[in-house]
Amino acid sequence: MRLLLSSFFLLLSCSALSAQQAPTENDYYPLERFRIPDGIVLEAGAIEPLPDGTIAISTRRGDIYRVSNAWDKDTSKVKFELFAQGLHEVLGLTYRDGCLYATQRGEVTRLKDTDADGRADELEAFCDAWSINGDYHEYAFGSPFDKDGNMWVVLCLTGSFGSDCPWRGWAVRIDSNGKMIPTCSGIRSPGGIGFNAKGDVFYTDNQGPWNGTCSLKWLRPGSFQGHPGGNRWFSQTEGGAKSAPKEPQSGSRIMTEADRIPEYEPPVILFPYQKMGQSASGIACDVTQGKFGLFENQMFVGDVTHSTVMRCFIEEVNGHYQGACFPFREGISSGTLALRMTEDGTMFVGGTNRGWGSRGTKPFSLERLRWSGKVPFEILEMKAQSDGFALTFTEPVNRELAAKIETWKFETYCYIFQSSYGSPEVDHTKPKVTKVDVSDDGLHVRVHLDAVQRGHVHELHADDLKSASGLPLLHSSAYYTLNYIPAEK
Amino acid sequence: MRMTLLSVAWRWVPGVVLLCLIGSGRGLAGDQHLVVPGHQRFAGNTLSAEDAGRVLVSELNCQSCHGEFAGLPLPARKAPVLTHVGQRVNPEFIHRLLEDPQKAKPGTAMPLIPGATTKEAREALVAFLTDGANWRPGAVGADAVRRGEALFHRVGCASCHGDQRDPETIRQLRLGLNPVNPDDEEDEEKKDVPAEDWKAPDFVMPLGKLDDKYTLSSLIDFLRNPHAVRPSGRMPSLNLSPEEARDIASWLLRDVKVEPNIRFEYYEGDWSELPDFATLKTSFAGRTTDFSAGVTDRKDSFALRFSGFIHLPSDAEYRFHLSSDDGARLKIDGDVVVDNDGVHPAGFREGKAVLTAGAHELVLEYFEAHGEEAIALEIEGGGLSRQPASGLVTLTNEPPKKEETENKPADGSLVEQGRKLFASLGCAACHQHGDGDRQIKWTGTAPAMAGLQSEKGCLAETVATTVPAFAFSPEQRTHLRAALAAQKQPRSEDRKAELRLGMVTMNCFACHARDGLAPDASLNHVFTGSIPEMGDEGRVPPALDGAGDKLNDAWLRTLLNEGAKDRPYMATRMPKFGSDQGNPIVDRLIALDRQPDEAAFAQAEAEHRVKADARMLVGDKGLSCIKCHIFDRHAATGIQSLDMTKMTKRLRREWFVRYLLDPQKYRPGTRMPAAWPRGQVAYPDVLGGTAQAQIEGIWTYLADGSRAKVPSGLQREAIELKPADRPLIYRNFLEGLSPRGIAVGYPEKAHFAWDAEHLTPRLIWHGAFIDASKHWVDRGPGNQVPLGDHVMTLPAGPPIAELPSLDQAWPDKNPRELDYHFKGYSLSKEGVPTFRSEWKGITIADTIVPFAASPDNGLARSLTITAANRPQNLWLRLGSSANVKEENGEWVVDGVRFRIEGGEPAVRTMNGRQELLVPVNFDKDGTAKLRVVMVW
Repeated sequence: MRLLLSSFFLLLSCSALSAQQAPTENDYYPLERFRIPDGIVLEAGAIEPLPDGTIAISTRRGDIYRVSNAWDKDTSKVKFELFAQGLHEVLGLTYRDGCLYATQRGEVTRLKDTDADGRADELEAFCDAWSINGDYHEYAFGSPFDKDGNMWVVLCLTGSFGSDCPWRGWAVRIDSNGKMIPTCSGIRSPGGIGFNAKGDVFYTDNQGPWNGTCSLKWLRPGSFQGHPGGNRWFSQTEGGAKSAPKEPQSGSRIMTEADRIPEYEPPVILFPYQKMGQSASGIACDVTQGKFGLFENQMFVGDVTHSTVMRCFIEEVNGHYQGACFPFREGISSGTLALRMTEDGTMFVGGTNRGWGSRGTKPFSLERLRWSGKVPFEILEMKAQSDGFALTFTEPVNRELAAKIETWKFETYCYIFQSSYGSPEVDHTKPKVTKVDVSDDGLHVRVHLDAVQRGHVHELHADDLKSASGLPLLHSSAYYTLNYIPAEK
Repeated sequence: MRMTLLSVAWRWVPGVVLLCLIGSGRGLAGDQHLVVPGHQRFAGNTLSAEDAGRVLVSELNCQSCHGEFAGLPLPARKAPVLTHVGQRVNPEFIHRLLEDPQKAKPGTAMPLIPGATTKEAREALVAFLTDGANWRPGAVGADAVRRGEALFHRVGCASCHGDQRDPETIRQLRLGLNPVNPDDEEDEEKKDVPAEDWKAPDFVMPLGKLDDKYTLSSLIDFLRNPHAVRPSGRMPSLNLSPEEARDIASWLLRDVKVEPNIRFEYYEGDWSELPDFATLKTSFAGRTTDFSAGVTDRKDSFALRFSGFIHLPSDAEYRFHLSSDDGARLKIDGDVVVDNDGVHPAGFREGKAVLTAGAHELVLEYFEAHGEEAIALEIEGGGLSRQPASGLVTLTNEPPKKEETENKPADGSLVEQGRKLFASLGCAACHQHGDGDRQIKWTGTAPAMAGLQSEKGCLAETVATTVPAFAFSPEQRTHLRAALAAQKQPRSEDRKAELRLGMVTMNCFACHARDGLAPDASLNHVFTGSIPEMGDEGRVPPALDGAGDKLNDAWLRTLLNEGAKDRPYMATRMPKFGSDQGNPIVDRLIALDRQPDEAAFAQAEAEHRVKADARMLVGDKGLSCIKCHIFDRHAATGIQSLDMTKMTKRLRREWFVRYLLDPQKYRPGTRMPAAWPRGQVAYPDVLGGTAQAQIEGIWTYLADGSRAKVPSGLQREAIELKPADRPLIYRNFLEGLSPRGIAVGYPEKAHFAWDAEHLTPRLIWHGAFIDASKHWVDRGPGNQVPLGDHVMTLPAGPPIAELPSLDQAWPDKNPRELDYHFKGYSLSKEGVPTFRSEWKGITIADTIVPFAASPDNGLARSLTITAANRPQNLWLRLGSSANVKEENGEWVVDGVRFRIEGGEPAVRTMNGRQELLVPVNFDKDGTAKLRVVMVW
């Protein structure tokens, strides 16, 4: 009884405390850690739910585990069973028609458990049509099957700079018969692949040559993604029919080259280096129709170094995707690699920091994020306008504060598009806010700027903004990559 | 006067001296006499007067004027090559050297030259030697000076040039090595020895005032490749890196004084990246000689902006190396060339710029937040070797002024006069100037060696004004006379004496002992090492007694001709002397020391088993050699002694065996234990239980060099995959396979690696399966080798081929290009894989399982091949080797014994190799079954 009482007081004092303090990410999207049994090194490379209610998790060491009770309220009930072992760094998993497709470094393998004993016994080479040189950079990330029934694989270059064998530095599609179709060139060093709500394919690429900072890119079929290292394989495209895009000019700017090279698809979202992260990784999209909160159809991207999950709002302008990224959740236990959103609105997050350091100190981790049901005060959408941005909020804003010009602080910059490693921020401008319109319901704010800069990241800080109920923004910064300026309406 | 100058020539033909000299001053600098270190040290005690004289003849190269001198221990020392000397040496110095050689460069062998005693003659010579050159001193960086002092006294310079530090420091170092025992009364005196008495001995080669002579870049070039201008190897190359040469040169030139040539402005504030300097107010400004944070005493929160004009020699792409702690940025003509902004430790970042010859505006911005502060800017390209950029900078865009000398810009006639003097005065007799046909020839003559009178000419007590005046000490003169006198008597060949004299000549005894001679105790403290526990063995270069027996011919030559750094713990390096000097010494070492070669040892077991046993002996489950010896990339677990995998490259097998049986006999005082004391064997079950078989086995094992399999106990982070109750698969980058390797390990300790690109097993082995740490630790680059032993290689794919006749070669293309496809594998209930592949409608299922055999288990391979069209000429290839032989119904290929069921094998010779082929015979349903059993 004494024990019960003291717990009761503890509870009371806790809630009293939280009422006084500013809410944190944990209040809205609590991070729950799974305990991984000793002996299992779960450097999670890919996560895929299976029809039997388990999830499949592949590892960099080449194991695939089936994990049961992953949705149980009590995370300690989770159970790991080895489904396959001895594969080569599996960074893609997808399930279709009784088979699990695993993307290894050199091959997509179709695994089947024909005798239903819980272990794969058929490991069929579904597609191994790309080459591999033996360099550790030669990672291969595989997607689920897309709306046309193709699987996508992005192939890292042989190192940072070059492509020593076909099709390093390409994204390829694999049709349902296992036939490979080289689809996009210009890849450097991917960290993840996934779809948006419409089913278009995106991948993340990392800072390095021809990548001033990490980014989210759209794999528009036939597009060139910026790093010319793999363009030498155009001669081997079907019949050699396709010719390589023009060589990009080192030292130029992304949009200068996008105007010059028709195939070049500029990055959808640049993740400003150090500010948002340093090593972009897995991609997940919220298509749970509200089960994950208000961010329906938005994309989430991991960052290994910062041990975070970022949120991305994208829109279509002039036939291209572009948009903004926002901080979403920090504190992943290891370096965020694999993200997977399941239908019930659970986001599984797999971590590893082997070879690349992370803020999260654990060597590997498995966690899940679920919506607590409370709505955080966030910038829900950031849409480009001809002279500024249209912002939508999750909660009504304090209209008085929102109407103030000095609430909105903008800065713009871009990155040098160059053959050497990375780029500093360059070409800074400080746009002036000329006018702010706040909607009657307080959910929409239109910010007019004296000038917007094509090809620049527009960095917004609204630290002083409060919601109508007096809360500050949970995340008060946003970074919009303004490749194309929409026409005046 | 001009006529006179041109007629100057010196001749020693008695009575026919045609000379016109002005002035009679032939003064030399005090008592300084010329120095030949080996002579200086051993002439008075060890060497006979005759031998001491021979060393001098060799080092003064008397032959260059007087013709051949029979029986020198080594080729004589050549004087420095003077082609382009003006680009490396201050013209002023050449002047002073000609005027008074010992004053300008104490100890030099350069004599005072008759005919160069006039100022006019010297001006002409200098004008000629420095024609077209632009000598300009540059400042040195304080950090480099500090590092350079330490390097000079560590890598070996000090062994010949002496300890240059102050006497008190030297005293402390020497006491540190040999502390005074306070209880020992005899040592009381030692305590009171004044610091001055600890100064360097007199047999070292004086350095002189190098800042009068060299620029930083020319001294760096010289230190990196001294043989280019001093071809006889007396100044050996220490194989310095560019950074080491820069540091040592900076220290040697630490006293150089240059006019401030760089502007700077100083700012204070807290920044985490470079500020916009245009908006800042400077605290103070000034001029300096180096890009250095040393202009302020402040350690944190400041910024500097350096500016000036950099003068470049040619149109070229230049590389700029900028290191800073914290951020810095280099701009040339307003463009950013290197950006190293942000808070970070020092470390070079490179930028390139294509620039024209002439002046360019240079701005270097720098800030220091907190912690260490450092800045360095270096340039290379356009004919400039990598060097500090500060020396090329001036305050204005006017080209840098030439050194103010009394010389007017050289006019052509003066240069021409100098050239003629160079030929006539005898400079050309000793110094090379120009190459091949363009080399200037001496136009004078001197009496032949045989006719020399030892009291006259340059050996006279008072040298006539007509002959070169060498700065001989009376003793040196006596020795030269003795050598001249002895030359007239026949000499009997004495290799031991010749070797010793050769080593005196090259000053080998400054570092090495041999034959009773040893490095001098007064410089013992300059030998240092990184592992104090190793004692003198870890810091003093080894004694050379028996070296010709110990080391193999190739390595002896490598050591002398190229230099080496085999002992990672020892700071002093073996320098490079060059083959002209090295080969005669090596030949004598071999002739004197070498014990006879012995025939290869016949082991009772096959080689792969010998190596596996020896590996056990070397590892922590055996004799634990790895505790003290580095093994390739693996640090030893204790002290870090010589790399075992390099031993067979250096040593002779015969010596290795004898040494391991009794190390003390060959290296008295060594810490190397006797693992087979008096021939006793600790592991009687290994390799027949004899010491010789075991040591010979270790030699055979180590002969694989860096490919030798790492012994147990070194891979501390090993992640060993141990198949326990079912097979384990490891798909990764494996050595000896394509990047699509699939290793399969069995609890029965017989394993294989199947290649999914060649569609065939490529490796089989016994024992431990795989250490996954190569790929599972960090990023995991590189190929993994099997962890176990008896690793055997099987031929590459394709596994099957159609051969219409056995004259047709096996296809040697990558099977993927020939339309062979990997189809994956299935696993049995027990986890045994069956690999499947396909070629033009023919399918292959390949299962490999262990079976019990002795002494190690074997592998049985079952192949099921199906083809609806039942091709007639289909073959399976099992072996490809220099030699395939049949023994009792088994086929032996490279140590693997094959037993084959399901087809009568054929052996054929194709392109000099023998192939073991098995026909694939289909039954009426189009199925063929083959079974291949392998033991090894």
